[in-house]
Amino acid sequence: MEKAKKQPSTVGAGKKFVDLFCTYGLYFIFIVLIIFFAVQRPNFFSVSNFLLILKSSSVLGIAVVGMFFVLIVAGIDISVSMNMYFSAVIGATVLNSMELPLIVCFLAAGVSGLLIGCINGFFVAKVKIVPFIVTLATYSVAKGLGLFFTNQQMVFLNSSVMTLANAKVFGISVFVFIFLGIVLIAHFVLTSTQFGRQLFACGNNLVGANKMGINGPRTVFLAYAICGALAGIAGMLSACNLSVINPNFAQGDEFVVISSSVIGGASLFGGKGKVLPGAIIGIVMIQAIINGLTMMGASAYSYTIFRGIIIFIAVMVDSIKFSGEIR
Amino acid sequence: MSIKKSLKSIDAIFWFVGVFFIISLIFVPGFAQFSAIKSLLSQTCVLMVLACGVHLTVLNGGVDFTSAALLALTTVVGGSIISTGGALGGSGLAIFLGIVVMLLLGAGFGIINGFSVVTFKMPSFIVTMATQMLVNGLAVVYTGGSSVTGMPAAFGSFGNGSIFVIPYILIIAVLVAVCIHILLTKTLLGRQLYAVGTNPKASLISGISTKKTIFKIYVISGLCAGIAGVIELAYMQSGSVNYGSTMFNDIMGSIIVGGTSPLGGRGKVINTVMGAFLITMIGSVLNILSVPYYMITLIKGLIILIAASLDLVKTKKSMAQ
Repeated sequence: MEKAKKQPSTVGAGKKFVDLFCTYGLYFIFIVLIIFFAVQRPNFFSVSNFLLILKSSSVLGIAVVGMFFVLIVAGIDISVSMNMYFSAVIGATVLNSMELPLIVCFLAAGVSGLLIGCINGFFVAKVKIVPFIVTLATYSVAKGLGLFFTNQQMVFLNSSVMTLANAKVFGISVFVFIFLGIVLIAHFVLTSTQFGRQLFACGNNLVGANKMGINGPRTVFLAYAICGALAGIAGMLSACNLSVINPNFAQGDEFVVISSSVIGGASLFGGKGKVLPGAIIGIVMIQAIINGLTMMGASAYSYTIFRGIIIFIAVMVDSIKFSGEIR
Repeated sequence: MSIKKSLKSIDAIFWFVGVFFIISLIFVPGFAQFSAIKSLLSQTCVLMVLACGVHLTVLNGGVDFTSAALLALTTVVGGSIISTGGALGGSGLAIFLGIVVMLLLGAGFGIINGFSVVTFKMPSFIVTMATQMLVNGLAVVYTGGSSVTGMPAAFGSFGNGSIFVIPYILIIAVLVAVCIHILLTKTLLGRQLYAVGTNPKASLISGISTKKTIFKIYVISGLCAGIAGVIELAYMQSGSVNYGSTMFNDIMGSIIVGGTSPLGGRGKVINTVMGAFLITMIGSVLNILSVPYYMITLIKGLIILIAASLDLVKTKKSMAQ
């Protein structure tokens, strides 16, 4: 939706307010909500609850890191939730039927996620179909495949996953360390490697990047592949956490992942985003709000409304910021 | 014009629909029946109206996710007004009021979408995704998750009645499609829409108010969702929060199979109507053949991918010429 509209030249209190709102508005709303939850439910501000929020953030956080790669190249991946479902099903099947060590199951889940990611990448980068159409289609395909492998039944995971889900280092769930490890690797890749800089270049100006000799299609393809693989790992981790895979596993999580990334500073218009604080801040904020709502005893249905409002405000801020920049 | 040339000028989607229909008539047992055809025609209506609305936003290079979710909200809200158990007891006034409220709801969310897209320059698919969640959440909170039943008899006879083999609701759906066709081909708004979809910058410079055009499109799309809600409520005789939950893929499928470019600026509404017919037909044939639900989901996903790829191949060919 590019429109050649000039910014209104009125510089006054109104514009200052908009600028302030864009920069700090979300954090302000977040802090107000946190104070509200803390006043209403004193338990909310306890160390154990904080650790719980961190643990639940870590699972989806891995998918958020993947989404950063796709958003940086100005794409989008809606299939991420069903990718998680499909990969978790594959991982769980490997675990239950072959009694292999857990690491192999994670590998299997990652590879099946990578497969979906490669399909996305191929159609976006090589065939050049609009990303959201491609990923909408693979959403259905991955969902269909997942339901096919489970025969539309629940899958209970082998009890060995409980040891991972309950494992703690220094009192902090091991999930958090896995997440932090992935964030650090992604941060290194994005900031300190040639590939990382190529990603930003493609996101900012694909045509220009191609002219400069960057293999644009290959870079975009790899971004989707990485997103898919990370979604697969996130799916398996989530399955370990729940130790069961429902047919509606991860449904709606694509919204959480996308909105967390946008809150964390990735732009839907591409070329922007820092994984290191961004991915963590984004997902922790969303999970803290969901956790607070749960503690308040809000109806599960109202989460959808809250998620919708959060994603709306996050993208609104992103869009207002974007139109202020000259590209 | 020779016969060969005039055959070539027919869009591919008509061939797909024709060939698939004839093959199904011959090879699928139970398809070549009066009742099966009639129910197929009835089932198409909702998808057809929704797809016509979303078609406009796709022409503009955007999309409207909200319309499928609006089906749930409008049917539960409208259903609770029209229902014989409601405050008005299912009278004629209740039906009228219910329909008006449903249309207003649809248009209202269309206004929200259009406003956000135009004023904040938000990408339409994220805006409409967010409002879709809002709409779904509101529908569930409104009913508490249960469905709304007990439609008055007059409303039921409208939903399930037909003239010969043509259901009343199909007539409504075709009317909507014709209106949108006229809107696109005969009015200023239509031509502006194609211009804005092809090149927003150029159309702005040449004096088209792109903001107004885009805003109107989202409102019309919302209104279409409201009409689809009325049709669904009349046909199903109940309102439920589950309606439309898996419909968005079908809507997008109809539009893309119909050859509309997701990049905007190109596509006929007749082809989208045919696309809706094809998608419904594939669904119902697979159902008759008792193909499991997950396979249908998978196949529909693949159809979108293949159709979009074919469309791009065609575009590249025509650019090369």
